[in-house]
Amino acid sequence: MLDAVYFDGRRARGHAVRVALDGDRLCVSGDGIERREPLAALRLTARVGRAPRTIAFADGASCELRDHAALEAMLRRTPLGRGWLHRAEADGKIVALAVVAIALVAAATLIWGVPRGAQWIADTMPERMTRVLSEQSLDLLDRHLLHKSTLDPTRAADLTGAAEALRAPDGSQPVYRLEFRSAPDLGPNAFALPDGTVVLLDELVALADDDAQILGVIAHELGHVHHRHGLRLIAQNSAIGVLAAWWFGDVSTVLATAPTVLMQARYSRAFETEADRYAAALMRGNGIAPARLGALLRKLDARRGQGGDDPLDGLLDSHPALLERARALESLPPGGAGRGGAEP
Amino acid sequence: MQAFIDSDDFDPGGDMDSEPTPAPPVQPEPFRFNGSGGEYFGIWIVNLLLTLLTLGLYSPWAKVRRLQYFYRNTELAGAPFDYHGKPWSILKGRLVALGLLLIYHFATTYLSVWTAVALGLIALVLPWLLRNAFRFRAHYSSYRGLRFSFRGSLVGAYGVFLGYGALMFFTAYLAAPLFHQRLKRYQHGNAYFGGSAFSFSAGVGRFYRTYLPFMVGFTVLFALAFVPIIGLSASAKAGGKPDPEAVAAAGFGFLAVFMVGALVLGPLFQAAIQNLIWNHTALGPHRFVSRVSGWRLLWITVTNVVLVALTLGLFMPWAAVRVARYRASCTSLQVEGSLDAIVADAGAEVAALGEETAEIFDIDIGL
Repeated sequence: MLDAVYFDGRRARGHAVRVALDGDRLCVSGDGIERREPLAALRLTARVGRAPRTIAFADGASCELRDHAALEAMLRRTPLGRGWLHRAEADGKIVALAVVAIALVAAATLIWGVPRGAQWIADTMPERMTRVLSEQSLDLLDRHLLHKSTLDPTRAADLTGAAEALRAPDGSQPVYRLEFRSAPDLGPNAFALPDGTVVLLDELVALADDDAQILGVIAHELGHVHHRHGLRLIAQNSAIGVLAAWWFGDVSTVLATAPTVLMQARYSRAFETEADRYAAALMRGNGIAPARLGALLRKLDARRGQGGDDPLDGLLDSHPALLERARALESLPPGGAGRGGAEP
Repeated sequence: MQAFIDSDDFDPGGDMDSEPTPAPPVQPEPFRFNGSGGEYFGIWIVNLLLTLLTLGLYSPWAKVRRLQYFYRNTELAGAPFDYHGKPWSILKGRLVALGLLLIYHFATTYLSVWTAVALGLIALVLPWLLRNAFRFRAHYSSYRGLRFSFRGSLVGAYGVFLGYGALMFFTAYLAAPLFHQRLKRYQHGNAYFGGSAFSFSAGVGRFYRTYLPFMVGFTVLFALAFVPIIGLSASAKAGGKPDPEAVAAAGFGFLAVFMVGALVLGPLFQAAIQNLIWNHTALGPHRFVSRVSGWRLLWITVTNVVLVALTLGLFMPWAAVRVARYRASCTSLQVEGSLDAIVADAGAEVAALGEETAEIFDIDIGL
């Protein structure tokens, strides 16, 4: 016997009734109500928390019940009594397990899933699209940040020649196009566009001791191109943005944007290391000591230490720990004899 | 503010046993939300886990369970509300919504003749979907064994969403209060509980009066956020390229000012608008009373945001329960005589097609 409130489905008036089980029938009685219904014709709403549950009759009438323990005891052996979902939700161990499982899924998604997905997108992106994307980016930079190069044309031609002479381990020519620009605001820097264009700033050419260092920077930028870092970064940021908006979106848009910024720093660090590794291999394959790039990084670091006039330090600014990278490059064997001979 | 709420002295069976006698004509019945954050956490986390394990396919079931938790824990005059939404219909609705979203995305990303065609098509379909959303949500909500329903006409939907929606767009949101009033008049003015009709009595003037301080506030905020950017473009005109660091700072300043401002103004606005809407909504002779305090809601919202950030999101169930509890505690129904007299009316099943679309396009403005 349980207390319940019965509604006939026609009027908003409730009737205080008692509910009992009689074999495979449910008996409802009290306040002028007298019903005996086969259990098969009834529906019991699933339990959520301690909220009242409803037994629905086929004709639209319903019973509201609040004594969960008694109801479950009464219906335990009937088809209405199943309710694994509530048992899971109310079980501390299962809930704790769910928290751990979701934390693992989240960590795996951020550390492994997003970069892999971004890699896949970058790898399958049609050539035509990367070209359009690159041209538009360079156009935008030209209008807002970059100036015409004032480099001596013969020097530029020499550098282009040297860069085009670089050979990847499989014998192919990795340089797609070399562009010269100037940007006093950015300071010494270079960057790569997804289609393989490498933009070299006059300030970097001026800072470098020799061509080997400049070729080292170009090799580093080609590493970004080879691993499609530009496209991957775009894809990763969009993915993190969507995930954060989904996760925090209901609560606050401020929270939804924070993870993108945090994860970006982490991802770009990994990209720099990858590009350095590529640069080292390319340099050694072309007879340049990787240490030459390391020496340039040291110069950049020293320049930044003096609080140079470059507020952003260009795109190299996201390159963390310049000295650390320099040390890693210098620890590598110098490679074959050749143009790298400037190193004592 | 909550003086009219009597906490524990009602008894669900009590006044139902006795025949309706000439009782005091108006009896304030408070809404109450009985859910708890800890309990909802279990439901939320299991929903989340099953949604992840099924790659999102479980989400309609999760939604039904979430709404059931909130509906069934909301009580009025000793009886809970209930939600009966069908997950399969919601799933179908979501797929349609996803299709529309993809069309919208591609139409606005790659501009061509098809952009206009696609947007026109969406504009034509959207009012119909939104009307269905209202119908679905109402039809699958119940109280005391009776269903709610929405009976707004299709013509009305096109008038509100296309007519006033377009007007709002072309007046740079100056017509937003007008649009909102027409929307609520359409939504609340065509809603029924059983055979008893809701009514909505707030006029356009009241909407403008409520909106005005916030429209001014958001304009000032926008201007403030733009100050560094204006200064920057002035210095750029004076000569040379702008300093990249200043550009970054201006961009960051813009976002910071705007987001913090929105975080403060948002809850204040929600409180004011919820009070306006519900204080002018009635069910038959029974009027709703809403006394949400903007500052209380602001405090709850800001502490929620901080705690959610600190817990990487794990506080979200508590946050949702806190808001639901506060909102319910501020709302009551001035019952004239008894709710028992309300009787059912024949209602037809409606597809869930509309509801999910409204959600994914985020057009379902509050309450």
